[in-house]
Formats: sequence, C-alpha cells, structure tokens
Amino acid sequence: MPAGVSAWTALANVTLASPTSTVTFSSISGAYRDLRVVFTGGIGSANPSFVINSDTSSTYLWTTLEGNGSASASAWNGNNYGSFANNYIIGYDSSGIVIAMDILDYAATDKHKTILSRGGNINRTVNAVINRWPSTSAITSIQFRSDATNFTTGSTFALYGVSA
Amino acid sequence: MQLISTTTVGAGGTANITFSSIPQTYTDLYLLVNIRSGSNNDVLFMRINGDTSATTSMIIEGNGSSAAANSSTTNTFVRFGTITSAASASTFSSGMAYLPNYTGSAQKTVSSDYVSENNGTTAYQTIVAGRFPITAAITSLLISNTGSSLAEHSTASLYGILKGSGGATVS
Amino acid sequence: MLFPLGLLSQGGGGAAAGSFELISTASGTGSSGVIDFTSIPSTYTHLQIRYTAKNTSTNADLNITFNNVTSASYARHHVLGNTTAISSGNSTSATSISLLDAVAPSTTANVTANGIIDILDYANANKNKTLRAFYGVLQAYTTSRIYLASGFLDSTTAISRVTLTASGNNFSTASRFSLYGIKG
Repeated sequence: MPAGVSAWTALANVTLASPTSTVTFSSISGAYRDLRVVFTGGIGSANPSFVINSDTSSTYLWTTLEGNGSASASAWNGNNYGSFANNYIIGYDSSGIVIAMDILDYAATDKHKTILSRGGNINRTVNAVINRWPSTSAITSIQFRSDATNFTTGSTFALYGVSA
Repeated sequence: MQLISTTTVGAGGTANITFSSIPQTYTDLYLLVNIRSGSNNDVLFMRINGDTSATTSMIIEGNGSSAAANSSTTNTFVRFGTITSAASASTFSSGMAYLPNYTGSAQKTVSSDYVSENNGTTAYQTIVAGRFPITAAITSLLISNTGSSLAEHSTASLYGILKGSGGATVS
Repeated sequence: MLFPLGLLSQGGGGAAAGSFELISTASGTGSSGVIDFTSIPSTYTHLQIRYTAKNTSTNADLNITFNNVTSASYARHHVLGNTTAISSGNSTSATSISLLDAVAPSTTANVTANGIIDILDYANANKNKTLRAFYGVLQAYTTSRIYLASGFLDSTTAISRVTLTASGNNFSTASRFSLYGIKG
C-alpha cells in the first residue's frame, strides 16, 4: 500500500427504518485484512447473535469480561452462533447500546476467525467479548440476529475494512 | 478516518480540553487522548455540548491488583478512566473513545477504554459504556478531570469517520 | 435486495489520503520468534499494531520492547477475564512489556490470539512511552482469555523501533503483525 493512502475504508452502513430481526452484510470483499463493525441502537431481547457465512452448524465459542454495575464476571460458552455482545448479563433497551467489533485476518484461510468486541448496554452491562468461529474459510458474509425481539428503528450497523 | 483537530496542553496546564465547532460532515467520532494531571488517582471524564445533565455509565475497572464493576446514573459527565499520574513523572495515561452517530437524533452513546501507567503496583484499566441524555448533534466535546488541571504536554486528537455507501440486507 | 461489498463499491473514507496509514506488515515464518519494526518514521503522532499470533510450541506471552531497550525499565498492568472471574495484575521493573496469553500456543489447531495495540505520542520527547492493548485468545474453557492491558517504558526517547518477541519458540506462519501510523 503506498504511503499517504488511507488504510481505513468505509464499506457499508444501514440505518433501520423499522424494527428488524436480521441485518446481513454480504459479498464482503477479501481485499482488506481486517473488518470492523459498529452497532448502535436498541435490541429488544437478551440474546443478540451473529452468524458468519450462514454457518449455523459449527460451534462458535466466546469468553467475556463483564460488569453489570455492581458485580463483575467472566464467562465462557458456545453455541451455533456467535455472541453479539454477551448472552448472559446483557439485558435490553430501546437505545443506548453500542458495540464495536474487530475481526482481524477475516479473509485468511490458515486460521479460525477471532472477533474482539467491546461495548455495552448502558442500563445493564459493559463488557468485552472474544468470539471464535471455528472455520478457516474467508468471511464473506455476516448476519446479525436480534433473537426474540427486533433491533429497534433507528439502530445502525456500519462496516469498515482495514488494509494491510 | 480523518483528523479533525489535535490539542496539546501548554505550560501551566489547563482546566480542560475542548473541541468546539465539530464539523457535522462525518458519521462517528473517534477520540485518542494521552493525559496527565497534577493529582493522583483522579477521574478523567467527557462532556458533550457543555451539558451537565446526569449521564448513565457502566464501568469495569482494574487497578493492578483487583477488578470491579461500577455504574453511575448521577454523574454530570461520562467517565473515561482513572489517572495515576503523580507516581511516575512524565508518564501519561492513554485512552480511546468512540462516539457513533454523533449527528443523529438519538441520545449519544460512547464506548471507551482507558489505561494509566506507572512503574508501580497500582495503575488503572477502565472499560466504559456510557450515554449522554442529549439528542442534539454533538458540536462540542470537553475533556476534563475531577482533580487539578490537565498537565502540560497532555494531548487529545479527534477524528471523524465517515460511513460507507454500501448497504445491507435487512429482514 | 443484496448489496455486494466489493472493492469498487466502497464508500467515503477509502483510498484517499486519510489519518490512518499502513507503515509495515510482517508475518511469522515458523523459524523466528521475533518481529522487529525498525526505522519507524516520526512523522505520525500515534502508532497502532493489529496482530494475530500463534506460537510453534506452547509459549503464550508476547514481550514488547521499544528502541531495543532491555533494561529493567518496563511495567505492565492488566484487567483480565479468564472465563470464571475478572482480575487485575501488574508487573514492574521488568525487561519488557509482557502481554500475558497474547500468543496462542500450538496446542489447538488454527487458533490464534488477536489484538490491537495503541502507542500514543510515540515520538514525543516529553513523555515516557506507554501502550494500551486490547487482546484475547479463545481456546478451551480453562485457557481462554480476554485482556485490556497497558505497558510502560521509563524513557522519553522517541520510539523508532518496536520489537515483539514470543516468550519462547517461534511465531507460526499464521502470525501477522501490521504497524499503522495515525496522524494527529
């Protein structure tokens, strides 16, 4: 990459015009090295998740570092989806949730994909989470799922690429 | 990611660092700070638009020996972290704050992490999720502390991040 | 309707001059435990290292030095989630900034540790050099970790060299370290 050229590229952005249960970034180019996703808004249920490349058969794992305002904890768990923030202490709110996720080497084929994220629900929890999708495939799509109740109107998802 | 402005504190220190007239042409704000104060273990914080309404924060903080969770619904600011500056001269704390959708009409949220350092047992590591009860666009951002002034050579850099034009599938 | 996200459809902020620029990228070779960024230009204000790392054996820590300083002039502090509790720790008067568990051992195939390290005001001669690191590794229940950590060097000399060393053995070929400059 030549000097003087930005390594940070804004790829996509969506603001929800109505309550929405899934948001998908698809056909993600492999031209970057890392991805960043930023979510702000509201989630009406306790178990928001993400799925990579439509894979709901692998076991995603995650570990958390979390606090709920008075108690702190760390947890480890797994399921056939990734934990968007934290499935356990997070509650829900119509707004005030911010989550930033970094996925390094998302297109590499020699490693599983690790997702680092932090953020929280200002009424319920603050946390840092590490997820692992146990696949060496390049990431070409990410779907965010709201679980029982939708992402609220006005919520935003933004996707960025970082070159290396 | 584009630099909007950088401030470096001059001789004598300053009570606060303020970014004013923030351009409304970006989507998110990204703030990097490298701060020292004249007090030990005081709190570094943020305010937007000069507002002193009560904010809401969730906090995790370690101090080099133990860690705990905390929260606030009464502070007139959102906490960044704890500064341990008196223990080691010329040592500045380092932090990042991300303020998404700062021109939007929803209440303004912030995600931050902040660490202080010194060559001693006690130093702080802080992760915060916060919200300002402000629906107006952010036009100014203030950084200050609960102790004495911010020390000479403290710096703060504010960046704007513009959203992409691609979309996503929603259902 | 689907919106393809290829390179040609990038939105604002890409490919033009910006404040976040790649300086250098280095990959693990399997035969070296050292990644050495030298001759770092002083024209930026901050540095960021984004990395994925795996060891060829079981060693799991990442030791960082600045300017080849190896005297007992470093400190490190962290808050950690270890799957069962959070805790905080410290290391002082050390010969490097040792980020614990920042490199995945070889025991679990295809697993790497990942992290983002910020070094603010790296060329400022008025400041001792510090870093902030957010990183983790997701392995089995007892060995998964997530950290927010900080590091310190008792020196105000501008950083022109950052050396990242595996605590033992080598970085595997799945390891990648990218150094970025941030204008300020």
